[in-house]
Amino acid sequence: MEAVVATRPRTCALQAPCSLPGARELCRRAREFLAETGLAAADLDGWELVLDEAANNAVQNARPADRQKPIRVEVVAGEAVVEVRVTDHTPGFDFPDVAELPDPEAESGRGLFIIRSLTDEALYLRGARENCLVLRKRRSPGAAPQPDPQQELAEARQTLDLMTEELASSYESLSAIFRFSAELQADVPTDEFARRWLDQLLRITESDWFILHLKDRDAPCLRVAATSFVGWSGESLCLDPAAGTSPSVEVRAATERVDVWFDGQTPLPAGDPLAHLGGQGCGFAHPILVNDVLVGVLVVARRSNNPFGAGQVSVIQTFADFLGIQIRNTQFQEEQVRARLITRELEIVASIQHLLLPGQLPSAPRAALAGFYRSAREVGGDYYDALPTGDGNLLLVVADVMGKGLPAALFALMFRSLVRARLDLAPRPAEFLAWLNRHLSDELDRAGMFITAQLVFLDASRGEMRVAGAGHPPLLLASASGKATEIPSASAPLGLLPKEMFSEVCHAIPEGCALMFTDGLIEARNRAGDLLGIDEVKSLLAHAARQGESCEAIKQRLVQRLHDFEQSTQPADDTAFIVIAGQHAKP
Amino acid sequence: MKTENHGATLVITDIDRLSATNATWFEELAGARLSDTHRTVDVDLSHARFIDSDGLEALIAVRSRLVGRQGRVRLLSPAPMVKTMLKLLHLDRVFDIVNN
Repeated sequence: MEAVVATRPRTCALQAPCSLPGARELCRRAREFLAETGLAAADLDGWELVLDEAANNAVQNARPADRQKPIRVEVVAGEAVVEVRVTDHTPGFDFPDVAELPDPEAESGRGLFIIRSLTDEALYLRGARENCLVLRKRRSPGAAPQPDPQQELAEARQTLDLMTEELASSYESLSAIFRFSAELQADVPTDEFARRWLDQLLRITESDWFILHLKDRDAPCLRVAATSFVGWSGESLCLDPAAGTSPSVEVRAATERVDVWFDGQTPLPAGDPLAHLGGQGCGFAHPILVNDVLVGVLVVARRSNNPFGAGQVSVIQTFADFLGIQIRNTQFQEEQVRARLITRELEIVASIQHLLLPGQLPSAPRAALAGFYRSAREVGGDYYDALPTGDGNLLLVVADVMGKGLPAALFALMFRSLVRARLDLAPRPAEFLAWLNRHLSDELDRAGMFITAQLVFLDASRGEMRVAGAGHPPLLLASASGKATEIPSASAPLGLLPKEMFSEVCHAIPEGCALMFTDGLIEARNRAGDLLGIDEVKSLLAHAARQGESCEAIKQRLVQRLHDFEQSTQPADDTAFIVIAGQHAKP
Repeated sequence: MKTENHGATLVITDIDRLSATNATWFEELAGARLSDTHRTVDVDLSHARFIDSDGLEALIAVRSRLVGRQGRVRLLSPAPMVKTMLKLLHLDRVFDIVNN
């Protein structure tokens, strides 16, 4: 009996970046391997086509998060059967037992039919993280693999070389990452750090040029952050599709969030600035994403058409992604520093503003005073003051600059300075408002703001008060008998009409109490969104006046009511008020 | 790939392969060169060593553009591999195939 010696199947494991050029390279190398095993030409054509369809499917349907993972192909060339396994990172699909040919006019759907038609067996194994397409086909008669010890030895050496290259790439990549991590401790600007980092990358991956665009934080565009083209500063690339800019592989990589490759077969699009800059070599644009947020796009390329190896592509992608994390961290730190600076500056403005508010209000003729101020933010636009003007007289001021925050606070300070500069006008509050209006109109108009204000002059000798308002809530009065009335303001706020006329009302200093306030008091809201309202404030004042409460007690009553009503909700507006308690009030 | 205008015919030549890597490019090129006066697109496939489903579907897409204006796509001297594919996918009934 003659002994039958089975020939050991020859195997080949290949991988390539998840891109169409990568898929093509896989097919080419698999075909070369199969040719070496003695496969007939017709079988080679069939396998190249089947592999092309399977690998393209793996690229075109890869999950976005998995597009950095390579496509893997394993080929097992046996004596009678060739088996090919293609591993993909797509969501997977139901592989039909029988592939139907689509309508002749259909512009998709023929890939599966081709795979089914040109193989004897096709299995699709779906997994949680990856899927595997297993394809088998019998060899055509007369073509069997010829074992060739020399060939096998050469292949083993080649595999060893590839593994060595992969290891070397990984070592280069890791050592560079450690080296640059140490440099991060130094105070190096982001763009300079990126340039040095990417210069190293060119050396490691035998590339010729790179351009790093970073996404602008405030606009939909990419700006050049670093490049190997010395002296070239480049132009920003617009990411807004409506802008209709020139085609660019970088814009495509940024918007589609996939690696975009170019080479002799798939040249850079006409009009792409890179075509003029780097020439028609080969390379790819890699979108840099951190937590699904686009940080930038890196293009690395060669002037020749010598394609990148899988190890080199992996190094470039790793470098780019690590760089993206560093850039994002730096941006985050800068944002935090900026936010802390702004907060600190606001705290300073707030402390200045509080210092400028009167601490202890001065004694008033035939009345006692108490003031309250609360800002809805760190700084606010409300202001109150009580200014002695001589002979025991007093000017009381309450004002509200439209809006909140720093701009409102700055205008409140400006208003305060002007009031203090012309206290000689205090006895004539309407004239004083007209003067303030003339001197603030230009600035307020430029800023698109206005101020409501109320001036009350307490005349000691006459026992009266003269009231004038500019678009401000009314002065509330409550008699000792508990009757509440209003003195309204009929004029426009300061800053709206430069020639506005203001009127004033003369009234005896009340024996009960009076209240000057900004709208933050009556427009306070509770959790249900209800307003506190002027009627409730009037009612509260009337009750206090009847009880003959002191100004401090009335102030506390108002503050407590505000607190209870708002139910700890964040106030929407600044609030300021002055309580004027008459002679009948308790001390 | 190259394009030439011969009256109402747009001729596309120099195609050594038509596959996923350049199918979109082919479609865009044809779309950019096609004008309202064109009624026929001749695609010279005599040097096309390889064509896949994406390549064939790009040809179908160009054909769809022309059908609306009573036009046609002619495939000139398809190489053997292309011819096999056209037959396998029954597309030899869809395109006008001209063998020199």
